[in-house]
Amino acid sequence: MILHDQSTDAHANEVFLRAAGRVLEMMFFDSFNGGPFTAEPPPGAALARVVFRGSRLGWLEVALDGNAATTLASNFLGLEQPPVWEEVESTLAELANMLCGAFLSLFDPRGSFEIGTPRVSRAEEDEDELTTGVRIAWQVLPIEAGSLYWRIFWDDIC
Amino acid sequence: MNTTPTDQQVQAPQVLLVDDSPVMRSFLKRALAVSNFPVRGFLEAGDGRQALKVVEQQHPDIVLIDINMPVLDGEGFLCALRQRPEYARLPVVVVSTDATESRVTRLLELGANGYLSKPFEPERLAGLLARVLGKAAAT
Repeated sequence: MILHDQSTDAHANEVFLRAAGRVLEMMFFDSFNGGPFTAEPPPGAALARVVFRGSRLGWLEVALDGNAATTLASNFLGLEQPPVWEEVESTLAELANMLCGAFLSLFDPRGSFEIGTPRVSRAEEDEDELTTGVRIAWQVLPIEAGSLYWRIFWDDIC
Repeated sequence: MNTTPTDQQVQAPQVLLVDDSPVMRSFLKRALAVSNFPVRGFLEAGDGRQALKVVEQQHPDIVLIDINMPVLDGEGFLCALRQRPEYARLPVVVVSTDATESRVTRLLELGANGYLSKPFEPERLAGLLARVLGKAAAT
C-alpha cells in the first residue's frame, strides 16, 4: 500500500523546483522555463539514483535525455569537445548528488541525513520495488539543454 | 629564462581538493580560475585518508573538502587532523550539498574554518577562501 500525502507532494514539488533552479543555474549554467509535467524518462535515458538516510529514508532519481546529458556535462566541466560517457556519467551522478542535498536541506533544514553514492544506469534497467511511503511520480522539467526527469520517494523515520 | 616566482605566486596558496568525485574537483578548479583567485597549485585526494597523507607529505596551505566520501569522510578527516597540534591552524573549508543546521554546526565545532553549501557561485567560493586565508595569516 502506498501512503500518499498530497499536501506533502505539493510542498515537496515546490521545494524541488527551487532546489533544481539553483543547482542548474549556479553549477550547470542552465535553467528551466515552465513545468514540471508528469512524464517518464524515455527508455535508455541516463539515470542516477541517490539513496538518503537520516530524518527520512528514501531515494531520488534523476534522468536526462541525450542532449541534456551531454550539454550539462560540457557546461559543468567547461569542455570544448563533446564529453565521453564517463564524463557524462560522473556529471549526472554529481547533479543527482547536488539535487538531493539541496532538496533535503530546503525541505527539512532542521533534519539530518546522509547521502549515498549515486548509482548511474539506464532508465529501463531499474525496477521500482518500493511499496510504502510518500512517492512523487516522474516529473519532467524542460531545461535549455533538453529535459530533466526526476522522482522521489521517502519514508519518515518514526 | 627567468623562473623566479612572482610576488603573487609566492603569496598564492597551494590548495588541496578532497572529493570522491573527480568532476567536482575539476569544477572547483574552474570555479577558482573564473573568479581569478590566485592559486599556486592544486593537490587532490579522493577521500579523507588520502587527504591526510597529502597534508603530511605535501603541506597544502588550505584544504577544501567534501563530507560524504568513502574510506574516511570529511568529519573523520577533520577529527584526525585537529588531533595533531601541527595542523591545528591549517585552514579547512567544507564544500558540501548538506546545508542542514546540524551538519554545519557540527563541522564548525570539529574545527572547519568555513562552510560552503552546493550549489554556489564561483565568486562565493573565492571570497570565502580569501577570508579564511586572511584570518589564518593574521593569527
